[in-house]
Amino acid sequence: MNRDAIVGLVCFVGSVALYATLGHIEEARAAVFPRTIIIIMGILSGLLCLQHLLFRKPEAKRAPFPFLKVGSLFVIIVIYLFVLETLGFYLASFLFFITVTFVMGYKKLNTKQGLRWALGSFIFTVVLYVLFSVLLEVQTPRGLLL
Amino acid sequence: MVDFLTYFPQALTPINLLVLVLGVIGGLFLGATPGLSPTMAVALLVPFTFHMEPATGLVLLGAVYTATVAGGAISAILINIPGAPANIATLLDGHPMAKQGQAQKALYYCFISSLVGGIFGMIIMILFTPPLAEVAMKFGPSEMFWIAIFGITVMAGLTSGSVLKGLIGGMFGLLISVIGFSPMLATPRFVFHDVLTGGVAIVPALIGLFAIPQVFSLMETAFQDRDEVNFKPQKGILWQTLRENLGKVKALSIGSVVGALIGIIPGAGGQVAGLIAYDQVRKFSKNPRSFGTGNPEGVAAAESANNAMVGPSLIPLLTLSVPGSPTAAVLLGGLLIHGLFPGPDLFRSHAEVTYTFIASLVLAQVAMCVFGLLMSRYSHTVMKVPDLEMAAAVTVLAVFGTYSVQNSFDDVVVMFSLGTLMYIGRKVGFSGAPVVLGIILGGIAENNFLKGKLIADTDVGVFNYFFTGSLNLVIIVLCVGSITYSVYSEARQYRKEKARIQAGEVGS
Repeated sequence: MNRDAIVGLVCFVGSVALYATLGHIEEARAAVFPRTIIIIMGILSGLLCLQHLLFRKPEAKRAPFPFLKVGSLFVIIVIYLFVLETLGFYLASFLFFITVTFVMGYKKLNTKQGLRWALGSFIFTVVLYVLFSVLLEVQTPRGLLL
Repeated sequence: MVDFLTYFPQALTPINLLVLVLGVIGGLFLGATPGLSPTMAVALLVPFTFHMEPATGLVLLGAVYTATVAGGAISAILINIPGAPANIATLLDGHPMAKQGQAQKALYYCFISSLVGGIFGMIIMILFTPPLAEVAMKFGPSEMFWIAIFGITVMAGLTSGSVLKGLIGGMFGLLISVIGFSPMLATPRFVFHDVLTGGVAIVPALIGLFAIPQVFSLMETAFQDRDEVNFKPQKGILWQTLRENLGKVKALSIGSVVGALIGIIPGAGGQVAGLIAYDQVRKFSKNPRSFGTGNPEGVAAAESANNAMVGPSLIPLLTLSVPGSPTAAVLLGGLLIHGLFPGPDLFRSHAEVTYTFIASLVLAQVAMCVFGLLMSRYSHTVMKVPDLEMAAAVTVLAVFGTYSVQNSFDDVVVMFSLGTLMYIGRKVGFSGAPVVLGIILGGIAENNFLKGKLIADTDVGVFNYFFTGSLNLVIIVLCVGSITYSVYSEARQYRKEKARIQAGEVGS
């Protein structure tokens, strides 16, 4: 099955599911606009599937998706967000920066590069602190440190 | 024009000038950095302007918008990767020039031509925006509803490879805009989790949709080799290049006029402007074969066009809430967080802020040229910023920017969730611009739809109210026209692709 046909199908199923959730709404008038949008979205999704059947496009060869790289980054960001309120913005950001560079760039890691990344993370965090907390006096999530 | 001149000195206050200069330098840097689009740069900055005076905040956004479009040419010329879609046409001759050892000359051409086009575009904007805003005065709920739909159809058709995907993206944005309590009836809708109780605010949506997918994309390209040229500074060529560049009257004129015209068309953007201008200048050239091999006229045409687009792209935005480009759509978010709603009121009740913003855009064009020329010699160092560090820095700034507006961690969660979803969406051919426009225009569309329905129920009926009247019909025709044109373009592209493949099969 073509990628666009799958996308159309997923959007169509999503539209049906969203439409169903509007069945329990307290005030019917509040559902008029979203319901109209969902119906249009469902029709467009159906048309996307139909387009695939009528005008089949040859699928270009794609480079393999870098699951490991993107997946690792996703996990690191989730952990960063998870500890943000506990550790505080600056400490969490410093650790995040250093983790991303060390984990994602492990193939290039040596003593010199490691020191460069660690120093870069530290300088970046200090610049953020001076800019946001000292100059702009903007509130950031506070935690163990700062 | 009188109002513009009256408020012009407001743009010259020390703080506004400081912000303007910093914005231009930062914008040139961000534009030149491969992988950072102008739209993302402006989206990341929107929350920071929240802590500034409205005029100063808009000066910053305008300066960054102007400079990133021109700055994107640096990476197009030096490493054959356009910093922004608007610079695609620039690389066709800019990169060959750089390969021939004329990188600095190509960069000078880029900034001088950008200034010429940018100033022309600003003149068009100053002349046409206030009268168009007066036309918008005549709009009632039904016309405003259709204008919101028009904005989405235009953006949907022109920013995605597929019209259907663009429209689905726009509808998805409209659905996100209705999350939370209904504005007129206070009924909760799609509140599946406490995080969604207050709805989805503009800033988390902007940052999520534009910054997070970019972070993942940067990670994909980290450590990949680039087609970098060996940059050798050329001494004493500035004045010679200036004379030569300003002598390319045909390329600059065609580029500026095409750029300004394309800019006014909502949704078209700099990419289209640059490519059409480049094509036209090549057609009118005595030596069309020299294009693509390092002809400076190609750079002049593309760059004058994409910067001429900046001012006019704000005309439909400031008058009708319909942005002329994806970055203008993000700027609309910047206006809204300061409580500034496009339309005639912007030029009356908020005249000082609006005209200061417009004046600063003119100054930003000049500053962009001056700092661009000064930075040209050192611009190749920007290319050395590694994707890995850039991805980490953008993530931290995205988290901070989102949190800082409402001091809400829920906003950060929404931002990251939307961003991840958009990254997957981009992989299957969706674009962030229609979704953002749906989110921004969703409130306008629904409120005016409900207001119109109330009026219609007590008067002429829903059909007559929404589907008759000359203004309604004009906008409906524009909506249908924009979709029809997009479908036609896609069908043409499909036929071309099919013919190319068949020819390849026969050939092999």
